[in-house]
Amino acid sequence: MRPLRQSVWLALWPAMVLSAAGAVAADTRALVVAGLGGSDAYESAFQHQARTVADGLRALSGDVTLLLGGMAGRDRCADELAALGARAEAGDTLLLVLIGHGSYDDRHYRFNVPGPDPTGEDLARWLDAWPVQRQLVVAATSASGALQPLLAQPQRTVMTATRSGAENNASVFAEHFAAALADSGADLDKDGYVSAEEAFAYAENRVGVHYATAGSMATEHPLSAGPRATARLARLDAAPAFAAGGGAGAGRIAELQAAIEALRADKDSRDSDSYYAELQRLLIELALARRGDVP
Amino acid sequence: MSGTAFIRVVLLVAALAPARVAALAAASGGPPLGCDAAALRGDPEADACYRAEARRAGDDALRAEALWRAGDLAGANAAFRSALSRTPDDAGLRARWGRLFIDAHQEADAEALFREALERDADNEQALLGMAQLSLGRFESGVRSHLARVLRRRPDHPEAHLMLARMRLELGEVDTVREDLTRLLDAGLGGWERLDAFALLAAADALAGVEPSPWVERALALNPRFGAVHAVAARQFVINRRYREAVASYERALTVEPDDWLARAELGINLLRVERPADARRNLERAYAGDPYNPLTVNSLRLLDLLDDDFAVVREPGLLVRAPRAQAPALTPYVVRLARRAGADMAARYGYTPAGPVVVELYEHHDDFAVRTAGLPGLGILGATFGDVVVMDGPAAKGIEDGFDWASALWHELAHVYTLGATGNRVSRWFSEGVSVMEEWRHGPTPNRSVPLSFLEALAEDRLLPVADLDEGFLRPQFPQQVGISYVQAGLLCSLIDARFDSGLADMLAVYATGGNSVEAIRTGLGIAPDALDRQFRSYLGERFGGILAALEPFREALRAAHEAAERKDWQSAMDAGRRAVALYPDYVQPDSAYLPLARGAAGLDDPAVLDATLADYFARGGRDPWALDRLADRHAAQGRPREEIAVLEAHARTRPLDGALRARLGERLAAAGRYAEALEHVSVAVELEPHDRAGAQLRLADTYYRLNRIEEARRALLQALEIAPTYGPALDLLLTLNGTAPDERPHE
Repeated sequence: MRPLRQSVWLALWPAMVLSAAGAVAADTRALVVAGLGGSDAYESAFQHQARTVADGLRALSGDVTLLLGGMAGRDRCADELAALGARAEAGDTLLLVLIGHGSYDDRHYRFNVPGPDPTGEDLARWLDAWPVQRQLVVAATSASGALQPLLAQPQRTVMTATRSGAENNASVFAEHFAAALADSGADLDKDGYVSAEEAFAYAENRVGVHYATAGSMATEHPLSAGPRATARLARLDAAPAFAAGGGAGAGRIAELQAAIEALRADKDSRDSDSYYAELQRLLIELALARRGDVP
Repeated sequence: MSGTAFIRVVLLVAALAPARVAALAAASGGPPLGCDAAALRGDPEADACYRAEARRAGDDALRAEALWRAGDLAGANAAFRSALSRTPDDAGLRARWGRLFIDAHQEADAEALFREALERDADNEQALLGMAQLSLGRFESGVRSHLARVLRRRPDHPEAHLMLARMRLELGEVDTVREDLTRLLDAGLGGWERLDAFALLAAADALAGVEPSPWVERALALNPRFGAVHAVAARQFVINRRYREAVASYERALTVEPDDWLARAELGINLLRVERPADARRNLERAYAGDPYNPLTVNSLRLLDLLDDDFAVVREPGLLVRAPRAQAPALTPYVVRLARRAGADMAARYGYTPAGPVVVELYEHHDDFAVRTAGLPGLGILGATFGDVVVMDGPAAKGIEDGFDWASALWHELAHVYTLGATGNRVSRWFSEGVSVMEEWRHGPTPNRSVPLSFLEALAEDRLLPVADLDEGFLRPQFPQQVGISYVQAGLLCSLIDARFDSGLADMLAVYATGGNSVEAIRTGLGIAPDALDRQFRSYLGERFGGILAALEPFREALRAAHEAAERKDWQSAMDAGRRAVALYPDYVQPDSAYLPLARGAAGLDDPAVLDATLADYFARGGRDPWALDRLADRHAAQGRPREEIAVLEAHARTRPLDGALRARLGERLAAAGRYAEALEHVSVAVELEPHDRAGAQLRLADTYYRLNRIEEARRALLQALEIAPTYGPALDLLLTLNGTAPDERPHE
């Protein structure tokens, strides 16, 4: 069957094809940095959030570097980013996560670390030196919206806690971004993993709820720009729905998923009853195949 | 364009738009003109006569007056502007221009002109009358002082006396009004003022049930097109919340004067209040055709469109609910439960059963509610009851984080349905509000004993009104917080009556029902004099609040210190000050409650014992801050207390019914406790509220249906979940179970 259909499915469901966690793990290389907190409470919170993100990534990848507080000086950040770029292979996703306080003085964004702070221009220069790969930057800091124009590149997704440098109050985005990596409610496609875009969507939603619940004006508006960021950041505790790779069952599962996707694409041209009857038939087959009862 | 935005735009373009204006308003205080006699006898040619007089006028000031009386507000405005450019220091002219602005609904501009006139002439009669007129219309307290200044110089000033009479009529002083106006008429009151006096006397008769009033016949004999003789009564009925009688009076006014577009617009608004939307629309459209610039008309028509297009209507036995379409599934179950409980409990307590369905209308935007209530945005209240029709802000308009507990407010408004209904809308304002506040505290969805600090301060400063004058605290407050304080005072008075007089509340309602005033209701219903009730009340307040009154300053200081410390994350200080404040007034669970910084301090210092005890005490006393309830529910969950967690989540969800994640969590916990029928409401609502995790929400719904043996509904929800996430393992498992391919190992109800 259906090479054409399968190719459609591949385009839309890349994570399903690479169903084994190991296949993803080799592709993602990350640097996670927690900057200075300025108080015990922030210091502790930033480090906890950075560890959570790093732990989530480490379950999927062997190449994750974590810099916390005192270790996270400007030069060390530059060196680690350069090293990460040097290790990268074709097809890898390179990931930088910044958690902490940022500032913006109408000219320069600065990420607060011990010693001289890296500016937005520094970050742009270091990241531009990376080989052209799929790149993802998560700047979970106050005023991080100022980075959007500086870091924009066709191959790079940039997620910031704020939409501009003017939003410079302490941000809650990082807390929710980290929480997403352990919450099944963040896994919208229920594949057992939380992708970067799922984590961002979850954090964006929770930031909105946070300010609504507090009854205060929202002082941060998360922003994501660039290509879709489907890279997986964490595997949830529950077993992935389709963990087993290879074999006849996997082939049948792939066919059924492609058929379901094609049916969904054709929904508007079918009457509702026949659509859902056919969807149910395919899903039952898929459920049986998943259980090992390949028809 | 949203309803609210549209309403604001209309207000801007309404500025000085030409409109039909009663010559009565224009002539009051103005110079006599040659056409006044024709206008006074209702001659249809009077407007044309005034326009001709304007053309002949020798100066701009006279031309302005003539154009104003002809209803040409824009022309009059231009003429006043021109006149003032030549004599900018003429205070009288400036004040007359200001009164024109009142007719053009531009009150802020009018007030500015009056103030400018008074700067030039501190005793300017027209400016003082204009300020009094503004205060009268806004139900402010300055009416008496402005009029007193006029009457000091001219004790027989007719317009000042007429304004005083109108204010007294609003306060229910019917006999005094009759005496004052009869004396004025006997002294030879003439012209438009004579007609105005007839209208007020006719209104006094209407309020007292004297039908037909001889004053109507006398007024119409002078001017057969003087519809105001009924419209004034209609407005008094509105102030007294007797909307059906107001509608009848407006209809009579329009029979006499069909082109009184203001009266027709007000008829339309009041037809909405008595749940006759089709008739309301017909009259509002006619009013619009006659005067397209009146914001009351345009706003109300826009509101009708909003109700038709964007609101869902849910009918239940004895109840009709209107709510924004997307919110109706989340809100309606709460409304139905509260209305049913009110129907059972309040009907017995107050001896009234509504004849038709009670209507509950919930608004998403406060300004839409304000237009529904008053025809204009900017209203300061959050709910209103028109007989059996309750309209109010819903939880989207104002939330619990702002201190607004919508379900408690609904209970308050439902109590009005019963006290208004039991008395044919004759109950006094303080008593109806008092019963409603008492109902909230004692029987509502969030019972509590907390009163705001502003009330305690007023009590300490002896600023509470005697019960016989308490209506003035609602109608014409003397200081900024007096309305709110009067609500609390009325609630405490009714709490006292409920506690110390067996059937006192019902007995007082019976007196109001027969037309008795508050003094009679107290004397007959309770068997004591009003001042004796005041004495009992003072003693009751002393018993209940004596402790906190003696420590008011230390309490305020501890409360302030606790919040400031929490703000700067000084958790130990927040706990210390919070403990002091809570010890001084444990019932205080207002939005700035000391329990909150105390709990935040305990959370910040990781002191679970203090955190648990503080949050549990706060919750038990009626505190509903969302942060606190989130934490309390989490603490119960972490310690394996599902029943307590569910109790907190139920209260939390009632105050935040549009929080999909909260409804989903409550649904899950109820399902986990095997309470599937209750869970279904919340998991269904979670799906309706467009949750972040749509597939997860649909699976929860499917699972709940399945456990209730509603298999086809379970299948539909399940397919919705799997359509979003085809590889969703637990959903595929349930699909096999539904299909009979996998064993059914799940518990069912």
